[in-house]
Amino acid sequence: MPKNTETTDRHVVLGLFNPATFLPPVLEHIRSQGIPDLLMEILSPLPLETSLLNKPVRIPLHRLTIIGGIVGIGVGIFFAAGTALLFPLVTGGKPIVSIPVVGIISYETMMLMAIVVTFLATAIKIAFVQQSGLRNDPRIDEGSVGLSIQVGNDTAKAHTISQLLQEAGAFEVEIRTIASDS
Amino acid sequence: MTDRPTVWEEMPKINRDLLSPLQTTTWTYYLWVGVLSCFVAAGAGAWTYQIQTGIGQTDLHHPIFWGSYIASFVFWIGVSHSGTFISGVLRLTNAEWRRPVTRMAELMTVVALLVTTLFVFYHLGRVWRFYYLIPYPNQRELWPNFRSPLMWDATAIFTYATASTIYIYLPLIPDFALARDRIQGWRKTVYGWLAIGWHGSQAQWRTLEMAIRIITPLIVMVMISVHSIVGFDFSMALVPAWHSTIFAPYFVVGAVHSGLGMVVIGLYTLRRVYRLHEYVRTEHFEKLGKLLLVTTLLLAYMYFAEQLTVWYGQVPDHMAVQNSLLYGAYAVPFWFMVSCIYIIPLVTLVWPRFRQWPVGLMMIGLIINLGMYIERMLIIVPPLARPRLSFQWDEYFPSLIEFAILVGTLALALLLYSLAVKFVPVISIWEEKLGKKHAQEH
Repeated sequence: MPKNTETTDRHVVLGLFNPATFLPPVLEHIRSQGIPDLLMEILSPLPLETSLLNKPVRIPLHRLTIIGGIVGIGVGIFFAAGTALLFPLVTGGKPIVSIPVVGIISYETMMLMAIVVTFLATAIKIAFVQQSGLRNDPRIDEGSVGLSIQVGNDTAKAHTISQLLQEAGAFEVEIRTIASDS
Repeated sequence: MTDRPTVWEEMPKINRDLLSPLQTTTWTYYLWVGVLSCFVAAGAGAWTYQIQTGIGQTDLHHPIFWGSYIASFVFWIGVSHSGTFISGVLRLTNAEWRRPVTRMAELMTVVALLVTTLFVFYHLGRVWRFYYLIPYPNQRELWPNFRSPLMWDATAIFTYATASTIYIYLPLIPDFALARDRIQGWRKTVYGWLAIGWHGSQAQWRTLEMAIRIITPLIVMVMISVHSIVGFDFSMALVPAWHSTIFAPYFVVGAVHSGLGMVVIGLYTLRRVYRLHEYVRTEHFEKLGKLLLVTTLLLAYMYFAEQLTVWYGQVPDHMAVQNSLLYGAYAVPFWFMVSCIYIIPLVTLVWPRFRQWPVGLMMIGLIINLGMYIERMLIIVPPLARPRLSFQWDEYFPSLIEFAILVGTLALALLLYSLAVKFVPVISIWEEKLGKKHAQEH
């Protein structure tokens, strides 16, 4: 039995499973150890059809897309109408502000901003909103499913979880320790 | 515990097969890149000469101020629709067969857009003043004139180029992560940056899928608007044979037609060079053949409707252009174009057995693109060559400098694509796996 010592270092347990393993009972066991879903993550080479973990979505992506689109409309109106009004130059009896032109330019800038904002939000979410200590294991892309669990600084708990994963059918379990200053 | 699904067992092989073009390079590849580089250098030399000596090196003259550069611009914008159509529309319609085709087509979109931009610069007489296109006020506080369709074009193409780059990049993130873990050298570092910390966590998958789901309909709408606006460049002008309401939809369908033709060429070439027969199968060519048949019929219908309306009206200014096409100075290229983009595809693609013949499909793709290029020239040159006052009538044929730049740019497109396939998996690996999984489940 490992010694129950608490250090300032954090531990992350990664278990690799055969994809046919039925994971919900394993997750239930881990939850019963007092580990919330927020500290768990399933890694797979493909998106799974059902969500096995209950994690709240903080800001829905589509809302940011809509906000980006609205900002884009504003940018378009500024370019097509605002710049014309800044220097009102009458040409050939045409109106200073042409509504169809404002529509066309605003449509393009709306799309541009909506797509760019969606992309930036996606990139930020993928890059930064991730479980600390999560590391890619190339074997996952070869056809395995990984279960990563953060257990904080409790070494004993890390070993308990590790054993639990092995009993649940993980073909390999790894405890990674992340130094507190890293 | 149940038996392991087959697709999971196949994953190592799929990874190996689809990453192999990135890992192995033959001497023929280097030779191909070398030859293309020579053509690119020749084209660059011709452009430098044109910049030094002026736009007079082209055959552009009064009243024909738009020629091969603008025709090429329209043509390459059309080619760029390949990726968006194949990937976007087929993704929206949940067509499973799209999976091995999308990445190749998306790459084509990005390369074509890069090349398209160049034609704007070739066409600028004083290219060093390109910044006039950027929306900011000049020293007299004048902004670019957004009432001009050319500014709509600049805005639309900037939007399309940005959106297309994002659209190809997002589904690439998991594949970059895959390459990051399997490829060594300087590329490993670059793949690491581009993978932005991808681990395949469900949170990441959910975010990625949501982003693709949101962006896909948007990019399809951008695609349609971009070529409509390219059509507006012409139809907003009161030039006989340009001022037509059908131009915007006609340009969109024409773009998809040439884009699909280009996808077939790329698909055939990459399948042959990288031995991807297991992934790119005859059924993919057959499906693309059917799509090409649809676009052929649609384009022919629109062209016929437009020409019939002009002919029935017998307005002299419009008839001058139509007559020059039907039996005048431009009759030879016109009938050649009609054969290439309507007649030959129609009589071949209606046969199911022909659609299952990859070489045949590739040849049809070549013929369609040759025809579409001529069609772009015929949209631009004859109406300008037949202005309302007949004493101004004139002819135009691209100069040697123009030819050198056109060939150099074609070589550049091929070169960029060839380099890209050494850096980006030509088939989306995770989407291919997902497709196989779906196929096994249903």
